[in-house]
Amino acid sequence: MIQVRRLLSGTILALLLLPIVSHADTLADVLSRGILRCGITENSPGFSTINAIGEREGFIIDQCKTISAALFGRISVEYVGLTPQTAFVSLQAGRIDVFAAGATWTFRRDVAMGLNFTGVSYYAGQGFLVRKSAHVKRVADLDGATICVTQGSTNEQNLADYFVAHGLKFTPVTFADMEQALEAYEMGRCDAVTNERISLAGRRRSLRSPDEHLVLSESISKEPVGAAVRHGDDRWRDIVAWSFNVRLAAEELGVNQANVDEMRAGSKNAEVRRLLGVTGGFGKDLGLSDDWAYNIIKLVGNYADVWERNFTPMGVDRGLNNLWSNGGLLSALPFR
Amino acid sequence: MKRDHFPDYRTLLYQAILLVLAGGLAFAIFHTTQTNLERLGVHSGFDFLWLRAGFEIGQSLISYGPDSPIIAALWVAFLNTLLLALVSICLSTILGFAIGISRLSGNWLLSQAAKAYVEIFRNIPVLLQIFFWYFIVLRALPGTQNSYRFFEAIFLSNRGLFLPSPVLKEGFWFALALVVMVFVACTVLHRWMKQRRVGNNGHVWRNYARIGLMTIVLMFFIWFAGSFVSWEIPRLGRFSYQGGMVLTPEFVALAFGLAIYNASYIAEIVRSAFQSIPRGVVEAAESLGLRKTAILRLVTLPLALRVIMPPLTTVYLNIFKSTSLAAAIAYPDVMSVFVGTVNNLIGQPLEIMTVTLLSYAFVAFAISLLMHLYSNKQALKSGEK
Amino acid sequence: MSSSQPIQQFPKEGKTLTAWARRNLFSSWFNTVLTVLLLYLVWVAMVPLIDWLVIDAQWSGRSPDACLNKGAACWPFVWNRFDQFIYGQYPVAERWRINVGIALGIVLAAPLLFPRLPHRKWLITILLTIYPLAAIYLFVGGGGLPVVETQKWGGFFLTIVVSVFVMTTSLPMGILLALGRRSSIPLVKVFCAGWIEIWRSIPVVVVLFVAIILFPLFMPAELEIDRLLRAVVALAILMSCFLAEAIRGALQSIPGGQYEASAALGLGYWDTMRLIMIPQALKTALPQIISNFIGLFKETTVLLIIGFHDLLGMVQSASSDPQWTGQNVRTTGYFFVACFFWACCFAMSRYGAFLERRLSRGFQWK
Repeated sequence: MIQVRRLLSGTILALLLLPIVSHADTLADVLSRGILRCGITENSPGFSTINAIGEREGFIIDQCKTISAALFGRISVEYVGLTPQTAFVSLQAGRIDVFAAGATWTFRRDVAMGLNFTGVSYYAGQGFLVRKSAHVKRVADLDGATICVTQGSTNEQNLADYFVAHGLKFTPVTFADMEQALEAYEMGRCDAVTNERISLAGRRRSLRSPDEHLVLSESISKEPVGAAVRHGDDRWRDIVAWSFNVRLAAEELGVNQANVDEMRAGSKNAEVRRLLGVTGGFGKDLGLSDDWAYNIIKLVGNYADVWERNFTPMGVDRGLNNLWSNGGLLSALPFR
Repeated sequence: MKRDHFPDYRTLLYQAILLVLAGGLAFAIFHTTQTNLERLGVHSGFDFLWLRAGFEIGQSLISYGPDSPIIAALWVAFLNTLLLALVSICLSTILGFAIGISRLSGNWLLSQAAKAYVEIFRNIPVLLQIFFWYFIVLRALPGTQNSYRFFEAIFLSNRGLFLPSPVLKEGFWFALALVVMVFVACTVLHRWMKQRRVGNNGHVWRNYARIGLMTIVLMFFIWFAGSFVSWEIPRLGRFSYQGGMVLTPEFVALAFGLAIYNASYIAEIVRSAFQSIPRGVVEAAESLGLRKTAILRLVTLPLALRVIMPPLTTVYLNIFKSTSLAAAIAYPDVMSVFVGTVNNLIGQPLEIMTVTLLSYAFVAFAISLLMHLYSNKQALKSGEK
Repeated sequence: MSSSQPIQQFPKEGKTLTAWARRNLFSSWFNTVLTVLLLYLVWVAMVPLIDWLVIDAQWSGRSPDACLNKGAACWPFVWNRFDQFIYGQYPVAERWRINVGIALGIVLAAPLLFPRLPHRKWLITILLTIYPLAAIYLFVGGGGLPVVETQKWGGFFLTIVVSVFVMTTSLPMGILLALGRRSSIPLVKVFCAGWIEIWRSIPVVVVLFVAIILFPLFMPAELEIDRLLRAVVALAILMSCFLAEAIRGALQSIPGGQYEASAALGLGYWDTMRLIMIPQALKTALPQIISNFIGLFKETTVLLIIGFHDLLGMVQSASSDPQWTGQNVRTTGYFFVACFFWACCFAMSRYGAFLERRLSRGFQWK
């Protein structure tokens, strides 16, 4: 019967489209696959953009590259573009190995949503983009304003909490993604846009007349942002967390992308030697090669290299994201 | 119609197989879901509904704030959905009937214009129409400083339509009950008098006088009840108007988009219904000496309405379901607020989707049920089985 | 009866333009006023529109500079991004695969539009079994051709793929559901009726979100189903319920005598359905099926809510590109999409009307 034939072809179709099986041992799976599936968000200046020749670049992209360098010694990444709504579900379902785009490390996310965080990658703060003509200097001046905000983030909650706590009123307009929110802001639908300060600074430059707008220096929240992995795989979490830590440790020890080779050859510092795999065998404990940290610094750089590549051109200084010895909050865990 | 293809035992066997298969599938899905949820450490249960919401909603018909529980947010979103559906249904019905009737007009230009309307707006996706209206609304309306003002109480700008909101004082409900009682009394009285032909004897104008008097009495009582209501008028703040009710541009864009799209379908339904009335019926009414308006009211309209109702209800159902497109614009309906915001805060997709599905299914079933009852009533009336 | 009066001739209807106008446009005072008002409205509405869209618009050029300082439609935007609108983000080097796949489909399906073709059965079989596999292989890749993930599919290509795939898979499911709902086995009937009613009362957007968000939870963790496939399957299930209602109505309209005749011939349930009832029901329900397909074609725009960039989605994201300044870009893009969809849907509905006329002329269609 024709209907039977149709059903049969439909089943064959479905079976053809089933991709490779993935297991709960993420490291083995990623190594056998040979490519890291990294969840990112897209279209965020400084964090994740596509340059003129079609390559991806940005802080989030560098996060993915860091892990890939540790695993394979080369850049082998499949970037999966996600929206905030689908990001956590994709991670929970196994579609991606790590969600490298910024996610604030909150109680709910860590405990009740089946995610594990891998340290703080940077400290964000929620800020506001306003028009200069509105003469808004502080957040308190936004009493009664209409504010464009995106779903699927702590933005909405922080906004409401801050305004309620300070007795201020506001009207939200809640969009599904940042592009829509910015478009509406430009058309005058709202008085301010709220999001993470650094990304707002980048977005300001892509507006039609950037000089008419400014990002308030005040921020209303403290957002420790880190990459997230699934519950249930400790070794994978260790790999990702310590890969990020390598960059901070390198900066503290004075190792950067330019001098890593000579440091590996000639440094007398014991911790540098352990870091770069000259002694210690740390890589093997993680299930990786001993060159893992060296590869990270060589291919991606230390934390300062990453920051300067992505955020310094936008005019965003490190602020809280500097080393503790320079007045910031970041500090490396020791390699001992 | 019973066919003798199946002896009874085979029927039972098939039903048993179906039960086993369906039950097995359901059990497998249930088990897998449970395993997945446990593995991921995701919380279960509906108690999240009573947590503090922690977010604000841009348009709400009841008082709501970040301190309200999540179930209040759901209720606000649900009311927003219903409001949008109601307004779209009204607008599209009016527009649809107007265009459908224009289609049958003797004026060639009018009927061609109506035909063009239907052909154009039926073939363009509704989401595109909504985006277009949103864009037009935002661009065409002035900024807050230059908003259109009506009676210094209603303001129209690209932030929305700001209306005064009623503040109910003590005794309002009592006054409202009084109004309702007076209305019912008037209706009953009018019916009784008509039946008894009190004061008629062929003087039609006495009927009108009676109705007019009762209307005046009713108006007086409504005015009386109105004194129990004070109005909160929107005031211009630093950024926008404070207080009062607001209809956001998103709402306007959605209402217009849905109304114009569905009006084209309603126009077609109306047109084919009127065209399906046999010419002989109208000629018979004419030969009885009825005037044109009387024919319309007593003969054509009831016949046409009977044909219109079932497909019209389908269109209404579609309008209600299409309000979920609000997820594409920032209108706070059930999809936006619940599946968007709340799902990301709480992270329990199963419970949230269940509640969402139930709310949509509930209203859809109610509408279908009403349609069923209405068509049954019509069938009984005309003596059909 | 004897007539002393001359027979009254019916007044001849004037055949000139003025006579026609007098009859149709100016027959009464009310009509006259209406005509004048309408003409004025058309003038006021259409003239600026045509000006903006065609006369004052910028037609030539492909770069953003071409559109500066123009207060009218910016067509270079459309020309520049046209490839993206049609192919989405499919890699440029692999676009030949899309061309080949779609061309193959058209070549195979076009003869079916002519009702009296011989060997229809062979054509339909190939179209429904071999062609989908070939098309999937071409579009997705694997084994020789580089894989293009469905995230990159977009534009008009995505619209077509989704519409065609959903329609072909939902038709057999719809037939089965319709048969089930009319079945005399109580459990089957209740189950099918419930299934249809539930799915028909849920909006498309909710169904898509359920597919994207909940399907991963229902499947074992090792099984990963592509997002687009999930959305398409959900749409197919939804569509099958609407088709089931149309087919059920058509089945109901078949005279009962046919069932008895087939029983008299000794045909069992499935043979009756296959040889007699379903072909008739499909013919009767064809106009409704086509209008459902047109509806589905328009519904594919909803995919942009879950992150797929169909034609509308691509135009949306392209118009936020800061390179193209000015609000005219967005409006031009919207008009382009509107015209595109309108042309396709109008053509399809005309074809549906043509079919309806052919069918109502009796059993000429082989």
